[in-house]
Amino acid sequence: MVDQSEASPTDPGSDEPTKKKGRGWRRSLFIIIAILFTFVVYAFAFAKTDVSLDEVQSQTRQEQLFRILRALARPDLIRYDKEDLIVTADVQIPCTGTDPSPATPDESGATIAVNPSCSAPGESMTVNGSGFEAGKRVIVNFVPVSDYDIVLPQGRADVAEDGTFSLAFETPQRESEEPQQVVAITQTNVGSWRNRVSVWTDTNDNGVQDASDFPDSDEDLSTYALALPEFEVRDPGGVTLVDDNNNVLDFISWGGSFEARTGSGTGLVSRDIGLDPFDTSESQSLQQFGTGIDASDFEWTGPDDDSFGATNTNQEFVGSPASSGSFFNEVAFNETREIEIAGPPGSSLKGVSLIFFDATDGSQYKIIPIVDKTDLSPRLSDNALSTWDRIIETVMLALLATTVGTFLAVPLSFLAAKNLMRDVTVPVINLSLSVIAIPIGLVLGVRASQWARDISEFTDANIVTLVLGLLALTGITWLILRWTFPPEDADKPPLGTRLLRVAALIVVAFIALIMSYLTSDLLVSLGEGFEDLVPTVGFLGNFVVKLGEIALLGIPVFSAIIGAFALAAAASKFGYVLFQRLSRGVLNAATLITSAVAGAVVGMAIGGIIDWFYQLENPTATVLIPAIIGALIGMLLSVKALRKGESQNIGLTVYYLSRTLFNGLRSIEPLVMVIIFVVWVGIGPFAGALALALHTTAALAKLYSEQVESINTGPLEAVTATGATRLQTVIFAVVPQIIPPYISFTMYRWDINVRMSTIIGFAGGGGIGFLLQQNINLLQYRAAAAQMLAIAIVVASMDYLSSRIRERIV
Amino acid sequence: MLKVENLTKIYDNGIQALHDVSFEVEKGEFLAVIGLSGSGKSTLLRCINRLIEPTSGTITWDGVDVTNASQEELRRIRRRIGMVFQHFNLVTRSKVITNVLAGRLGYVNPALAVVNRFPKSDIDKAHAQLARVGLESKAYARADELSGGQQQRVGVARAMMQDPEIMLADEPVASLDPVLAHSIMRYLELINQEDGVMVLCSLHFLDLVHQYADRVIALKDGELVFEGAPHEIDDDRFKEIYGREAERVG
Repeated sequence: MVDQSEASPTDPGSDEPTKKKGRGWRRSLFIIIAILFTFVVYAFAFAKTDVSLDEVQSQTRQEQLFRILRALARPDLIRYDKEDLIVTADVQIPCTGTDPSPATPDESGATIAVNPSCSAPGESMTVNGSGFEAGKRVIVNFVPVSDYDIVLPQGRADVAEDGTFSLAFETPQRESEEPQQVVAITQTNVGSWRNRVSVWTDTNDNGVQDASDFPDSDEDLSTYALALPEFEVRDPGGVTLVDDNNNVLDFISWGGSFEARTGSGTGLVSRDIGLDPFDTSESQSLQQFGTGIDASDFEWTGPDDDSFGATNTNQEFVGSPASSGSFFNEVAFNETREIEIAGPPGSSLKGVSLIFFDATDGSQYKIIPIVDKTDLSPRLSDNALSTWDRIIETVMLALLATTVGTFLAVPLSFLAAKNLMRDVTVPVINLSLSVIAIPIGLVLGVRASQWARDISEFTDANIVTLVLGLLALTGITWLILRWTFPPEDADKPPLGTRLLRVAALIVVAFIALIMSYLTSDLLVSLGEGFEDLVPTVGFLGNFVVKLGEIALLGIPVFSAIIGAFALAAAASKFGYVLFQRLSRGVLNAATLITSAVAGAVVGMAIGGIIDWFYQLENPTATVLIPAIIGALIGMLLSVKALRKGESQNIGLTVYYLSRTLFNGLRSIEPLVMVIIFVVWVGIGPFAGALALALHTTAALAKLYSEQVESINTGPLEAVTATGATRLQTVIFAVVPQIIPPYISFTMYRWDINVRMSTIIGFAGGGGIGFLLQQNINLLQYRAAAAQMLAIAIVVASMDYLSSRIRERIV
Repeated sequence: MLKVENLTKIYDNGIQALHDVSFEVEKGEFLAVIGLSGSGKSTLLRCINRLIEPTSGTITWDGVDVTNASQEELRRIRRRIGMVFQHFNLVTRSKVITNVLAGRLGYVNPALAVVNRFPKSDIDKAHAQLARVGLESKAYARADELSGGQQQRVGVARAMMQDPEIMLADEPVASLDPVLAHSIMRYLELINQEDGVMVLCSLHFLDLVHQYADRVIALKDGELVFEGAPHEIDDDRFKEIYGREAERVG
């Protein structure tokens, strides 16, 4: 008070004005220094961040930027199948005196002329087109003579009203004796949104668009080749050619003839090739040779140079083909795994399939349709479909992470709430005994779970036994619980009864363990059964199986924790009995000893952790020394506690420990956490979900605990005053108050997790980020744009949805 | 009989709320506790059921030492001491019936109450208590839908669920208007006279003290400054308790 009045400006004094003046000076000086300092800091920041205006203004950089921005503005969502109109003209570089052949006009009359038709490399050429569709864009490419499929784009031009275009280009540095080609291409979208058109697609994923018919041919039969690069062909084996009425058109085999035992070819005997189709080097194949129209007219030879998609060497198709006269004409099971069939030119391939057989038992194992479905154009592009898949994955990943995180965070949040933990105090001896009991409880818990597992094996995972066992055990548990927990908590029962009840509770806990195992087994069995029964929604069954498996993994852990808690509680109770029965001196001595032991236990635990991390493998350093130090510290603390008072505030310790842990975990971004989880469970959404779940747990536990801290304490006091236990108080007075903020925070967190999960794929955590990163790295900006659009839509709608739900609840 | 001996409470921040307070309350008595705000009335009442741990001194109830009771014993003691609060202290988001049933938490088995299960007899009892305070129709309304007077009646019903032998009332009518104040006080009087429950009630208004209390104790700065019948409080006594500048109102 006194200091304040002296320094206050209301104090009248003669030196007041000079003081003010001096302060003004100092103030100005301070401002100047502050400005200078700010200037230096920003200058340093500019230097560190490489602010470069040259790059910003550079022509090429700008062009790249614009290209990307334009690509981003056209997300790859819709696929039009296109029809190409291609006109080719020969050119000569350099001139050799021979005149290159002029372009053959397209059916529509479109044609091009190159002027001059020969020149030295680097000189100018002009392409003049006519008869093109007005308004179309023409792409002009130069196709040099090369062993590879090289196309050099030369530019684009727009077709004028009269159907002509003209484009000048510089001839590339590609010299050749032979004529090279200038190609003009215009593309027309097939179909429109008003009038969608059916197109054939590549159903067998051989990289070639499926044909709907055998190609036209001058000969009496034509051929169609099919590559199956990823497909595993069994040896010995066979394959039938089946039309859409399931008639077997041809049946060949390798490694010997056999009889088909399954499928539409049942009872048929294969026509053995007699040669080994696996023994073909690259670009070689086994082929039919001879003259005729039917499979029986030809003979298998080879290996020879392959001729997939064309008539074989030494083969002539002569005769009038039967409408169903298709047969295998060429085969090679080298790296490319190609099969060629021959059939009447122009006849439909729709519904025709290859069925592969295993010769060892005559059973079919794979049906490959050559053409089995049509698609519409325009339609959603493959990129749009995979974006859809991934965005669903992303949302589900976020949902799972939020759910798991919430479940873990709710109980933890109570530990980190100061107002609940502040009053939790226990006498030192209780604390020490509990600490000693924890490791014993952990071991007993794990043991108990093992015994329970052994006992639960009697069912043999048979659903009926499982259900009966569960029902019987539920009955027993119910009876025991009825007896141990009378609905009204009367006055203290005699010691004998209480001991009996404790024993009964232990039995019930053990039965509950067995029941947990039975339930898990039941879940697995039911899930597997369901998966087999209804394969279309097999993921539901799989989910049940996974739940069961998670439970099986979790039971020992859970049992260990429960064991530790139960034993610690029992030890604490025992401590209380000692506390009341023993005389002061004996109690102090007992406290000292138990504290020393407890300290040693904690010391050894810390030593064990250190040993695990640093692999010291030195028992003196990791067991003995920590134990001794721990014992000493334990004794010192207990002496201090005994002198000060009788109770130790364990609640605040737990509060600070959990707070520190949550803050530590929260400060690590999930993007970093996922790296560790990827190492553990592999790249994919599971790793991402785990990382997000861990971060969510820490973040929500903190947010929740702050909500618990800000509740109205009145009801808490009132419920405590009725004689409720701490747990009852929490359930009746705390939980109702925190439900709305908890739901609100959970929704908000889901919102955050959806946003997070869109980028968690960058670090290998699955979701749409994986696809996005891939497309950016491959410079496929139009595809990436689709993913960005999807993220924007999902995040915006999640944001809207969660705020609406929060409004409703709070 | 409730016996308070040399009760002292010093808070962690050094404030001495109670200083060597001793008094006795007979079974079935209505005791008013008066004093200025901050004189230690609330602390005194909360020490009796150990919502606040006394620093020293003993509280004995029918020969049982409350101050040294273990957690388990304390639970059994608390369930026979009902308490009514100035701000009602209802769980406002819960239903009225749930708030009333909370009064049985000291009796029901802890394991069962965790899953919000109460015996049928308790639920019937809750309805009966609500009927007694005239709120039976509001049993399934949310507590925050009720007016202040109604909320305090729910508070009384909750306390009555405990079958209390002592009722602690911490300024039960301070947040209510005079008409409602009398209605609540009449409930306490009813409980005191019909059920023979010992009532310890801290009050602000002397007319309420005159009307309802059998005996009065007065606290000033944590010390007991008066103990006697309500009519013994004359102007001199009044100024002694409330300070020189105080004026009697009401």
